Amino acid sequence: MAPSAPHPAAHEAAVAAAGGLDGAVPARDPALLRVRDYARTTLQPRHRAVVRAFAETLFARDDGPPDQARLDGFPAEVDAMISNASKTLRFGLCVMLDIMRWAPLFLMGKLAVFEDLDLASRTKVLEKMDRGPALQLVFVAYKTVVTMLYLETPEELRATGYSSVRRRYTRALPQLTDHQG
Amino acid sequence: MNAITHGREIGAPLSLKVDVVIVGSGAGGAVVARELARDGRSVLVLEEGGNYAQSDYAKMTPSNTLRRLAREAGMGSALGIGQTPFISVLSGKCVGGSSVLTGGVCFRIPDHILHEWSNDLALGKMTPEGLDPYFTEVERTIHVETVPEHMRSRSTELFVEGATKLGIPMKSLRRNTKDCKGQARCNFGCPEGAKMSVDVSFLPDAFAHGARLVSDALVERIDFASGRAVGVRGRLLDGETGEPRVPFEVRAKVVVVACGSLHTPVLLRRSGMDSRDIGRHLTLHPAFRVSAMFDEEVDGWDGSLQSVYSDHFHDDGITLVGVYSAVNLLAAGFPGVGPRYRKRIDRMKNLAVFGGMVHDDGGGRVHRWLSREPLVTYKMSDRDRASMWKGIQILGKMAFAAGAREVLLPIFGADVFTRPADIDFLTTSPPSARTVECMSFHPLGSAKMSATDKGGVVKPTGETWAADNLFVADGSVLPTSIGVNSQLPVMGVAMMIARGLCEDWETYARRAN
Repeated sequence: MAPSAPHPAAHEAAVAAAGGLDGAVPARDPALLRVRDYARTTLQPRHRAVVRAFAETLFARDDGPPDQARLDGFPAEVDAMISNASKTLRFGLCVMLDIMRWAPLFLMGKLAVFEDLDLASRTKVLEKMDRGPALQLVFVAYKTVVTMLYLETPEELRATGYSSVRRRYTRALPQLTDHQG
Repeated sequence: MNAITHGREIGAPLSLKVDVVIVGSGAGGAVVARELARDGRSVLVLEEGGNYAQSDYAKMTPSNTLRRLAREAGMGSALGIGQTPFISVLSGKCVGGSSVLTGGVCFRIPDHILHEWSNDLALGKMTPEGLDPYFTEVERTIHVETVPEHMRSRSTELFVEGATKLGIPMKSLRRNTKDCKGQARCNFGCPEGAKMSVDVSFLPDAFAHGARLVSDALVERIDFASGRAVGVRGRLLDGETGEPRVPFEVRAKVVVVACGSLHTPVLLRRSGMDSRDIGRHLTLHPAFRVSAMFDEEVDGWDGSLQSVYSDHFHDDGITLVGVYSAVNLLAAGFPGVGPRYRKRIDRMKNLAVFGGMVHDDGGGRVHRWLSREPLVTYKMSDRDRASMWKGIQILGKMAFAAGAREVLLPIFGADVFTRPADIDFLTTSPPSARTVECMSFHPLGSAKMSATDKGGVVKPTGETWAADNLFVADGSVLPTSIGVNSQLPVMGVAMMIARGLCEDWETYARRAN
C-alpha cells in the first residue's frame, strides 16, 4: 500500500501561494556553474601517488616511462572524473586504490607499497593483478578510467592513429566528372 | 522566461503548483511531457541532471561527457551474483536522459514479445496493432530512418564480410538521425545535433506548448494524501559541490515518475511504497564486444556508430550488432601492461569491433543503498550464460572469417587469439563468467506492468496499483525483456500511457480536487 504521509500545513500554504519559476532567486554566476566540474575532490595524497605510478607503469614504452610532466598532473584528472560519482562509488574507488597500494604485499610478499616499487616490479604486480581473480576487478576498473583519460589528449589520440578528418563519406559522394565541371 | 531553469542557479526555496509534475526528462518523461502539454495541461519536468546545449557536446571529450551526462560518471555497474559478469551499466543523467547517450538504434517491440504480453500476461492493449499508432507517431517525431549502406564504417563492413562468409545474414538498422555525419560519437552526445534524442525532438515541442523544466532538481520523495499522489519534494543540486541544497516542492494533480529502471524503484521505495515487486524483475540485455586486429587500416571511427544487425540467432537469444566507440575506451579492453599494451594501442587504426547482446531472462534487482545511487545486483541464468559464450564465439569466428590477424575476446586477463580453433573453448569449457567484460545499455522492468495487483507495480494504464494519480512511464514498466534496443519501445509505451492519461484526465483531475 502507498503511505499517506500528510503534507505539512505550512508547506500547503506556501504551495497555494505558488510563486512560480519567474520568482526564482539566482545563486551564483550562472555561466560558470553550468559547464565546469563540481569543486569536490576524492583522492588523498596516497591515492594520487598510486594513480600516478599506475599510469606510469601502464603507459611505459620500451624506451622508458611516459612524459613526467603529464604524469604529475594526471592524478588531478582522475580525481575530477571520479569525483562526479556517488559517495559510495567514490569510497569504493578509494578502497580499490588502497588495495592496489598494498598489492605488492598480497601478490609478491614484498613489504612495500606499489608507488615505491621500480617500474619493472610494478609491471609484474599489475600483470599478476590482471591474471589472478582476486584483484582483477581493481586492475580492470582503473585501467579503464586511466586509459580513457590518458589517451584523450590530442597528442595521445594522434599517436593511436586517430584522426578527426573524415574520409569515407567524401569517397562515398558522387565523383565530379569533367562534364559536371 | 526560458522553458528550462537551471536548478543549480537558484538560491532560494521553490514552491510550485501544476497539473502534472514529471520526474525525469528522458525517453519516457519527455514523451509524456509533450503529450500532456499538447493536451492543455500545465506541465513541469524535474530533471536531476544538468542541462547542456547541443553545442556543448562538440566541446566535450568522451570523459567530459560521461562525468557530466551519465550516472556515476559513466562508472555505474551491476554486481554479478554467482557465475555472472560484473556488468557496466550506462544510463543518462541530464536533460534528455539516456536518449542523449544511446547509439540511436530504433526497434519496435518484437511481435512475439507483444503476443506474449497480450496473451500470457493479459495486457490486452499491448499488441502490435494496439501500439502501432504510438510507435508511428514516435518514429515520425524522432525521425527514424534506415542507416544507408554508404554510412557503414570499415569496421562494420568487416563485420558484414565475416558474417556473410559464415552464412549469417545481416540487416540494416534503423536509427533516429537526421543528416548524420558519421562521427561515431553517438554515445557521448551528438556533436552535430543529428541524433534526434528527446532534448531536440520531444522536449522542444513540449516547451512550445507551455511545459517547463527545472534541471539539477533531485526529487527525494513523492507526497501522498489519502492514498493519492499529490506532489513531490526534493532539493536542487548545488552548482559548486553537486550536493543537494535548496529545497523545492511541487503540488500536482498527477505525478509521473520517469527516472528510468534504476531510479524509479528507488524513488518509489524512498517515498514509502512497499510493493514487493518494486526493484525486482530487472533485465539488462547483457552486451559484449569482440575486438579484432586487421592488417589493413580500418579507421573504425569513420562512419556510423551502429548500422547493421543480425537476428539470425534469435532462438538462442543472441542479437549481433556492428558497433564502435571512442578509441580511448576501446583501448582499455586491450590486454597487457606497459610496452606490450602501448604497442597494441598504437595499432588502433587496424581495429574493428563486433558486438552482441543477450535477450536475457532477467535476474536483476535494484536495491536502495547508502547513497542516492542504487545497488544493482544481477544473477545471470544458465541459458543466458550459454548464450553469452556462444555469442562471443560467433563474433570471434566472424572476425577470423573477415581476415582478422588477432582476435581480442572480452575476457579479463586473456591474451590475443590467432586461430579460429583457439576459441572453441568458449562453448566447450568456458572460463568463469565473472571474467567477462560485459555492458548494459538497456536496464528495464524494475516496476513492471501487470494485469492484476499481484506480480506488478503499475496497471496497464501506467498508474500504480498502490496509489492513485501516480504514474510510471519509463523502461521500468516493461513486463519482460524485449531483446532489442529499448529507446523506441520506452517511448512508444510512454506515449500509450500519456495518451491514456489525456483521455481520462477528467477522472484524475476530479480525484485531485
